[in-house]
Amino acid sequence: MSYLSKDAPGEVHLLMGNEAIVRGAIEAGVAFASAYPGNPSSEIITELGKLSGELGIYVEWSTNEKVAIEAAAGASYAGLRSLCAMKQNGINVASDFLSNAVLTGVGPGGLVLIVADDPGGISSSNEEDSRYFSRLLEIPLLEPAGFQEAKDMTKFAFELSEEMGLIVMVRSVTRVSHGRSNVVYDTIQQGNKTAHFDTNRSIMAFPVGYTHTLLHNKLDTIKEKFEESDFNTYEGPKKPELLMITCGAAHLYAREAVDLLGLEKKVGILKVATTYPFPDELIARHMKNTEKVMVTEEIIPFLESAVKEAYATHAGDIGNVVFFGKTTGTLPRENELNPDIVTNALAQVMGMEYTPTDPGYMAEVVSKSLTHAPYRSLTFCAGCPHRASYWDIKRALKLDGRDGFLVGDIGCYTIGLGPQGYGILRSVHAMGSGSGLATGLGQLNKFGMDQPVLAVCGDSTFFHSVVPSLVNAAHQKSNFTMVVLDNSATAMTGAQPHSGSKTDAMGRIGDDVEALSIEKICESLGAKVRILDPFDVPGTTQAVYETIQDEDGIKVLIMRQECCLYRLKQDDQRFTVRVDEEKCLGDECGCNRLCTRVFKCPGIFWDREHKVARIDEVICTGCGVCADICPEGAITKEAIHEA
Amino acid sequence: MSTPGPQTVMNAVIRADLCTGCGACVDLCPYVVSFRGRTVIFDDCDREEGRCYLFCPRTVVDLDDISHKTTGDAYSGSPLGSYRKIYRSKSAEEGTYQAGGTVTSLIRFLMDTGEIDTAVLTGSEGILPVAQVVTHADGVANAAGSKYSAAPTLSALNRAAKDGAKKIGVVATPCQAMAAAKMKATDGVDRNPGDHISFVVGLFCTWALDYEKLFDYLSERLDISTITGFDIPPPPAEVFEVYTTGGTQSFPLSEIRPMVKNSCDECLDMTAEFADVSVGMLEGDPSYNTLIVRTQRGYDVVNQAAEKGVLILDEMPEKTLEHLTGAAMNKKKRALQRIHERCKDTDSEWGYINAPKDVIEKIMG
Repeated sequence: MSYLSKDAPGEVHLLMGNEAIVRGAIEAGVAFASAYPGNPSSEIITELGKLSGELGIYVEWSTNEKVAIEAAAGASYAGLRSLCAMKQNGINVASDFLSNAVLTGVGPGGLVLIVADDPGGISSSNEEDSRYFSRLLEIPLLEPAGFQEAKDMTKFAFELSEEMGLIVMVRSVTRVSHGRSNVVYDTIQQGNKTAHFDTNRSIMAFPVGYTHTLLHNKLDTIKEKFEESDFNTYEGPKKPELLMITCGAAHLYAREAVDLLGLEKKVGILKVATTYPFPDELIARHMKNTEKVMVTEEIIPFLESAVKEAYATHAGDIGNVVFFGKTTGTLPRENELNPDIVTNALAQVMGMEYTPTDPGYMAEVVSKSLTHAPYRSLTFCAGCPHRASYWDIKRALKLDGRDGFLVGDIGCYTIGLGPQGYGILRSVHAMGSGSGLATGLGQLNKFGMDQPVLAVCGDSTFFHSVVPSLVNAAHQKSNFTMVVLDNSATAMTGAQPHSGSKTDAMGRIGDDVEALSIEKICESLGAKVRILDPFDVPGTTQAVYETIQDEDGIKVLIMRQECCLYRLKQDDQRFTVRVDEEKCLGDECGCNRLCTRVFKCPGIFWDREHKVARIDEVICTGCGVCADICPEGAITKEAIHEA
Repeated sequence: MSTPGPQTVMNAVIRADLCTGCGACVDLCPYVVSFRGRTVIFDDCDREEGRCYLFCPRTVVDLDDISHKTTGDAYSGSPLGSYRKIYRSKSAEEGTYQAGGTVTSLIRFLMDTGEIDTAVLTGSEGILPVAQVVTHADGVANAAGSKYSAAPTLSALNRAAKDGAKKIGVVATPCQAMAAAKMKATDGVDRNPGDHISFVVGLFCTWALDYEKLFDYLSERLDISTITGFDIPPPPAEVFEVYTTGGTQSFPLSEIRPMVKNSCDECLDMTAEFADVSVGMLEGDPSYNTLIVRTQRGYDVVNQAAEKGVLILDEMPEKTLEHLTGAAMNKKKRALQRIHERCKDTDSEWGYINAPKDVIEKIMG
């Protein structure tokens, strides 16, 4: 039995925030869970998947977030408590369904939507604030400010969802999802495990005016509950000089700031955990006791707007209040907050001396670390097949000479934007956007564009959102080359299985799982498909060159080679790679460090003292590509076993 | 031409479309290749010095220096360059040659006598001229015949030298011969293929076509795979003849000329002035070649070949040279004007040409 599924009320466990969410779902008797991987949300389904057999629940990695929320809603309509998890980008994909589901309501099982935001975009292409979706679509919203709350609120979200028949959204952030703290367990409810769809009910949003009114009535009820919710807490003096209103991880920073500055007697902290529908009366009551309010939260001033709105409603009652927050420039509008930033802002508001961390400190940390770490920009792993794929594509485009280009999207292969990916990618937007752009670009022949158009996606992205683009392209006869970098996993988020995998979130294999074939799907659309090995540099370069000479319709090149980390885990290294120092030309004319200066695999490094390339045996994964590109044959590869 | 390094070759020559496609920079390093007659840069090189810069026939060339080091004479700007003797020549051996077969016979002779161990020639793949390394006399004839588009022949020299050839014979167009001369004239460079050049047979050349333009033009008009050869008959025909398995097709020369490579317009050399010997057609007699003997070594080899009965040498009637001389002089002048036009507002008003002022004035008339 896992520590996450122990029925041991009162026990304390050190849990990661995402594990706390899992525990909350288990305590609530979740029966169905789905998600598309995306950091910082990914561990939720990974952990639930591992426990699926033991708990008798169903867990899946869905093809994309829209399908994930729809699948979970389906289970909810059949009476099962259902959970759907995603990162902030995911809610954009799911939003089309959500905008209708708020009016239709969910089933008797309830449906909890976990959205993990990524302030600062640490592992994202943006730092979108998903909370605006709750307001935009009118979805009740809970924001845990810690790890115990992450568990307790998830459980509460199920109860609320089931009671009100509405989707309830729990918004986490990186520091809540990925931090760890002690969590006290509660009892595990068994929950309904019998599914039945009630055919007496039609699930629809019509007539919209009516269902919208019903929604508002429910939200009014929820607001009343939120006004009284124990999740909203206050600590501080009765009449604080300054009232800090916080939510989420910012609450922890606010507490630390007050502590650091010794302001416990002057500053009160009101933590709002139920941020939509907004408990304005609770807020107004607290604002009445102060003349200064500082709102502390991450990303967009969502709470700040709600607080000011509440103030406008109750201004006559409250009297004069001066506001501080993101809109006043007291706190930065971008990136993550941290205790130092919040302490500095608080000190300023309180007119106190505080010396924030010198901005040069980070630079110093970096420079000191450099004595132990190689200096390099964001790169592919040693032996990553994407590096080889981009190397091959780059060469093919140069040989072609018509200024052909590659558009892409989100995945490890986004590194193609930077020097470590040879700057080969010309655009990155959302999942599948490269293929979408290409369907348009592939129609521009009649406007005189003769540049070869290539789009790139990963295997997981292919299923997630490239298929509709290819359908469009096939129908309109758009002329471009779709490159699918198939590394057999959703690699960037932790090698989760996807629709093309031979296993799934629950670890099923064999006949229980259908591994969909990318090539068959493409062929069924009439695309010309070739399967290539990116490690075969001359062969793949030639194939790309030949393919882009074909200007008739969509061509699909599947560059297939397993993620090197996946291989490594399976102890499946192909080659032992060595450098013959006698043969290595180094930076002499005739080479000038092709392997380290241009190819840039971190598995090879430049020995400045001896002026030769060397293999870093610790991180080399033995793909052998460097041996094939070395112009002097100085790098040798010795097969460990048949690939 | 600012920094004298690989960047100059890559930016001021190749990317500026002034590259002759000679192949001198190809196969020296992993960054530059020749593909369909085009010199392709895969990646930039940040070295301050490089053999590509030193050998490129379109980076600064000290004509006086390479003339001294190849022929032993100063560069005078004379139409046909420095020479010891001009013959009418032809092969004494039976065979089908484009003209007199002088080049094929000379290279075979050099191989047979051990004067060279390797020949660097230009063969064909379809209609694409390709660099060839030949180590047996039997393989020489396969490369016979004029090629009408630029070929990276010197890449084969670089390859052969790297593979250990010690005495290499090169059959070179004027730009290639100039690059080979730069290699030979460059001292103190490691892995200099020029150190292994034993003999250079130069070829007359007025221009070369851009392979890809020619390919596209012909692809639209005939089946490329049926092409067996090309020819430009003497004036006043004004046609470009394409031999195919289904007969000869003629295209107006006025449609072909726009495909001439940019770099040819800046070439001062019609007769490969820095070779040991230079060979071209003989006006009015397709069974003979014009053979210009430039170096002492060239003179010795040619006369040995004649003594051994490999080559037939006849006196060249003085009048026959008038056209060649005139055309060569015109090419020099036109090219220099063209270079000046492009470069007059830059640091080097004569572009890649470094020659004594009086010589430049003499050419410009």
